[in-house]
Amino acid sequence: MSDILLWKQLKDGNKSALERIYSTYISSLLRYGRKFSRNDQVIEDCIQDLFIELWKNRAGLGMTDSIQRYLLVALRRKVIRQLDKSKKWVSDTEPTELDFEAEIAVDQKLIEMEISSERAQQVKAAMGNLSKRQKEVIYLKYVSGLDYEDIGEIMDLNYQSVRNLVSNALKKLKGTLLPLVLVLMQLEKIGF
Amino acid sequence: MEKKYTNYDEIDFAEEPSFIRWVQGKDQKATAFWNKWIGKHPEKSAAIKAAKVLVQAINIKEEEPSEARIKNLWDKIDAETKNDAKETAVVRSIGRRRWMSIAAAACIGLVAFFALYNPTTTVSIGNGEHLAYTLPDNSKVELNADSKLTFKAGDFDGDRIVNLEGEAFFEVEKGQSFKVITPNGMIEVLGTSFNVNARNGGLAVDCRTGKVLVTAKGSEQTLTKGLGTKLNANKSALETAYETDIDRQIGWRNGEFYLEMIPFTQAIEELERQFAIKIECDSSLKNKVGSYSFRTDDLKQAMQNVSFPLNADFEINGENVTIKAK
Repeated sequence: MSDILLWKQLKDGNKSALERIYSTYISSLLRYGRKFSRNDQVIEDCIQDLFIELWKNRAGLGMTDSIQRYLLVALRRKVIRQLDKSKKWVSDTEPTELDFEAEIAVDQKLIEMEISSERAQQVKAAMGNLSKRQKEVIYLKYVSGLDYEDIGEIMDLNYQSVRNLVSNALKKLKGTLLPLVLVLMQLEKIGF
Repeated sequence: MEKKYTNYDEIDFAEEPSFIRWVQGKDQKATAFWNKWIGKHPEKSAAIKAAKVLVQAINIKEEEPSEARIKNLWDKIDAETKNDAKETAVVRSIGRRRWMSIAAAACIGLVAFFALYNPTTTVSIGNGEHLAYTLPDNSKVELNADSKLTFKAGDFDGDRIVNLEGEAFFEVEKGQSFKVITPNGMIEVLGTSFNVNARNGGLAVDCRTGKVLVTAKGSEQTLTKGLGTKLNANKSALETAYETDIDRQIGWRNGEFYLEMIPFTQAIEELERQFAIKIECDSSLKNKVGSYSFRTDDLKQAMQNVSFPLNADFEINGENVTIKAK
């Protein structure tokens, strides 16, 4: 079913449309939320509020061609508002909760290629050189699979800023990962 | 379309959506396209390989949320979206009424003294317990952990007075004046429901329905539905009544705690009370003011929730928990 149709059913008060939207996107919402805070309770409360509000205000909802984008925008705003609030209360701890944290997983394939633990650390740390925004665009592009327009809307940035963030992030990642890339290319002699 | 790729370097390829879908194995059409294209453009193979490795390397570590978690969250949303009443405010998540099940067990802590001439009933419970109790006039009390309630049962109907140490939620039957006396102030009502927290020399009262008069340190505040008051920071007078999130304040009835703007030591005390544990904690963390929320159904999760904003590590050893700054 297309997003437009599903959204229309929600607007018409079809409860199973709400459930369907939930089951389709809950995993990506929880995973995205976790990048802002590891306090699962906060994220779950935000998601709960989000869906309840979606249902209560369904009649007044605008149209959308991408439910995923709509939900990610709404969740991001809620989470940031919530964390801003709690940041005010935690007087002298670092505002780590507002960081967008993402780490590269050293996957099985790389381990099979017998990369040294030092290189594994390099891979893991590669994201550490990126700014919070760069991490987030990389996440939305490569994990959530969104295009530049959608990412811009979610992060409240214009198209060109998103493009710049992505290509600068990739250049940085390439710099950090270059030694590894070279080794892998040596190993992967057979190519494609 | 095919043409433009001939000017691409590895960064351009790594940014190309269809290229990414191919590397990630998500799109058969893209796979067919890129296999063909690479065959035709051997001069691009170095850039393609580099881009491919780069995209593969961007494999961000994530945990798939558990089925149970997804279901629990939906159950809460489902419950809140059942009744279509548009005017109902958004109510915070409500867990199982856990105290019900342990109320029976908690009776071990319930001691009733009937002295001959001055019959005083004492209802008290220890750490890790909650108790629902019905007073002689049918008013209901839910006692939070480590709390004590005393009253004179003999003439309760004529003079509804209870003494409270700790924290409790009251639902008072309509009738004559009902008084709750705490070491730090007094609450007087007619027929209403409200929460009293009289711990650590403080006093906080949140009114859910009806009207409540709170008197302490020579100051008084009248509370109506949705209002709260508490002793100010130097415990010299009551704060002017403020709007309160009563569902959060009485979240403890469902095993949910939202502690706001308190030093961490107070959160420690609450955790010790709710889980009946002993917590040792670096002294550098004890005075960090912040918000701490947790549920009482999962100690490990609760410890994660409170140690995260402190950037602290914790270790659970049976009934002993240690919290250390990272």
